[in-house]
Amino acid sequence: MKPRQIAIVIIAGVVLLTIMAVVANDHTAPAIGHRQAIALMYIDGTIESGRGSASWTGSRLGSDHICKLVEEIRRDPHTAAVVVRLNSPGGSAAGSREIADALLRLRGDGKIVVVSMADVAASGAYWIAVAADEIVADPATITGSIGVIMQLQNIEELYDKLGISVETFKSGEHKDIGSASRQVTDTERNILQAIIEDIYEQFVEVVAANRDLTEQAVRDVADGRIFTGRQAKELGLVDTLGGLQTALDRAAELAELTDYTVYEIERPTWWEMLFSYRVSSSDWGVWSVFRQLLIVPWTENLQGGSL
Amino acid sequence: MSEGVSPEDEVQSASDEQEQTAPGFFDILYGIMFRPRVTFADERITDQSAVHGLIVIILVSVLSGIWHTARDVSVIWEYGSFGTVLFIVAEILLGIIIWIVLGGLVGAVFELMGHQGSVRNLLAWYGLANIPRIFEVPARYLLGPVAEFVVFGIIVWALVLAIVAGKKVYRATTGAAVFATVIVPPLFGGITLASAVIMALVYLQAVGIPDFLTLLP
Repeated sequence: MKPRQIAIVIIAGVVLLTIMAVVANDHTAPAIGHRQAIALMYIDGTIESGRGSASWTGSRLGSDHICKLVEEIRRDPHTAAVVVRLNSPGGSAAGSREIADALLRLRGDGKIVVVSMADVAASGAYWIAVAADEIVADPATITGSIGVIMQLQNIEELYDKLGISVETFKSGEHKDIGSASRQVTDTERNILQAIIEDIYEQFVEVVAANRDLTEQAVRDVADGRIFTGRQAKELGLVDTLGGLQTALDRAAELAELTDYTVYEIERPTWWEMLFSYRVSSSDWGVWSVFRQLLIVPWTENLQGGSL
Repeated sequence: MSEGVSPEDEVQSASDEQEQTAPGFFDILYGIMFRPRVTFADERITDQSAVHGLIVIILVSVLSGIWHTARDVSVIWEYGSFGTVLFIVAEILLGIIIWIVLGGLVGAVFELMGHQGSVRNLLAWYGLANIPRIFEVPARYLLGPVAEFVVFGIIVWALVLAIVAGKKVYRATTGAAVFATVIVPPLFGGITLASAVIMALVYLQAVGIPDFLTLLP
């Protein structure tokens, strides 16, 4: 190998190692020094238990991932409080309960938990919210929807039209409960309704216990209806009206913090930040600069030329 | 008719071949890293473009900036990607400014000592002498607790190369090169800093800011 080739390989190797070093550091906890901190955690999208899933059309948030983040906060001695920014229509009952239990464990360790409701924090997301020391909602937030729903589809007639028949072999009478190829029987309907009722009871119990309401008071509003943040406050389902900053302020007050820092528990990676598309006073990535300098003026000229 | 080659033609041919095989940019980088004595003594590569030095300075600054924003400067996260980009750009600009100011200062010292040379050529060689510093980030990443010692060694390595570069460009003695490269810049920096502090304190005294006046005797 010639000297110039060796030099090129060395420089390329060093650049590659630097990239590796940056990637490796994307997953380390933020250094927050000796100041007490408030962790800010986002829960966006439909909740499901397990690891979650993501596709081009959207993502479903896995409870395993959220619980892991909560555990990281629990182990961090510098973090005195956490603000959970909720923007979710709900989802899996089991997933919601797991996340709520993780937040309750956090409170058990002496850390303050405040929930900040964004656009929507309903159903399973409200189940999560009641685990907090305090719930802050925007007056226009959609919340509530305390209840349980299960929907099954019966496509038996479609199968008939297509000439498809389903042969079922089962070890017990109810092994194919919920099958889409036939009508639900009365017995099955009773079984499924009992499951719904039981989960509903659990939901009511959790809300009553954590919101300091009687079970009857919860049942009065827990018919599945939704409320605005303002209506929810009147009913005692949330504590304070306000946005994210209000939630952060309340977390600091409850944790008795005067000098503190706020950090995102799941911060964007170095690469995401550098190549961000968003443009604001605090977020101005390479692609944003490119867009602002080249694409936006060009498109504005096009618009200016229209009749 | 025979086609013999005269001795003059052979000399000319050998000279042309030598010209053609003169070391390129990457050959010089390799030479500085692994064969510094031969490379600095090679008469074919006396004059270098300052752009070559600038390329090395920018490379070192970019690698260092990426590393600092990703690892050491947690405050960057509070300012988003703008802060990240700004920090890297600032590190590049700072690297270039230090390179030019130090190169100019050291060149002036050499000339005050009576040595003849080109500041532009000195800048080129000073930039090239920084090439070992590309290993700083891998060292910090891979070597853990001993990284700081290795990084210190890399800085000393680059400093020694800078001294040899000064010797080459100004045809100076080792002692003169050490004086110009190692002794004068910190002295100059210290004097500049002290002057700035004194001027700032005098200014603050003039405009009357009580908190700072308590620092004065």
